[in-house]
Amino acid sequence: MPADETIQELTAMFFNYSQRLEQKINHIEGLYEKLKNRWDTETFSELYHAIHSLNGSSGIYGYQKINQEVVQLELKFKEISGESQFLLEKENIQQGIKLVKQSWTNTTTEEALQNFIKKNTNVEK
Amino acid sequence: MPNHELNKILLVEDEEDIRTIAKFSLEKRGHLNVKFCSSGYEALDVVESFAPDLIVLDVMMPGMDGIETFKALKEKSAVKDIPIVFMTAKTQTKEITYYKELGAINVITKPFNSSILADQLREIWQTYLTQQEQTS
Repeated sequence: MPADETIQELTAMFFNYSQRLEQKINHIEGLYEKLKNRWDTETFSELYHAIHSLNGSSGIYGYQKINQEVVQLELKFKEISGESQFLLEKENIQQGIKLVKQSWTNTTTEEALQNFIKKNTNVEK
Repeated sequence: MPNHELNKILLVEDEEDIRTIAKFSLEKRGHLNVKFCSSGYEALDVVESFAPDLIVLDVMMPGMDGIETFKALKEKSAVKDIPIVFMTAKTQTKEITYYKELGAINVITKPFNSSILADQLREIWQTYLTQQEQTS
């Protein structure tokens, strides 16, 4: 496949992801707010899964700064298995989500796109 | 025992964004024959007919997670010998050790480098074949 076609395809993939990234972060925040007000295991699992998913995808799609914060946020969840542990970690989790949002604000689409293209065209491994 | 180059992969991943980049990486760049499944249930349905050389299994999936899917695959006599690689977001060393003790032949961490994912899997496959030859 010619290089320009590859770049076109990668760019389309990137924008498809990027258009939904803010929504993914807001979804995490919404789940946290819901859980903060009233604990339930299902919402906790959904929140953990949403954070884990963002951890996996953000780095792949060039959003390194977001990924660094999400990795830290997910680590806070590793030891939580119930309401009491969640309550103890609540403030830390809120802070972690805030940092993820800040890293989203501080990342330009152009910067992330360049990271993504570099990684996928062997310019940088 | 298989003795050929890696060709067919069954990749089980619930995240569409990850499947999209993996498809580009493994099919277009890596020239591998890949069947994508979005859940463990779907993987169990198709694994026998597709007969992959290797299964790549996401750990955290809603419903049947990667560990449950792994155990269910190992209980199916027709496919229990197909090697499985776990794929998971950046994780702790003790978890990787646990996945290997469970029987996974290796673990790939996300975010993976999509430009070398096919090469990584080919290397894992070759190491697996060599180990199989040494123990047979």
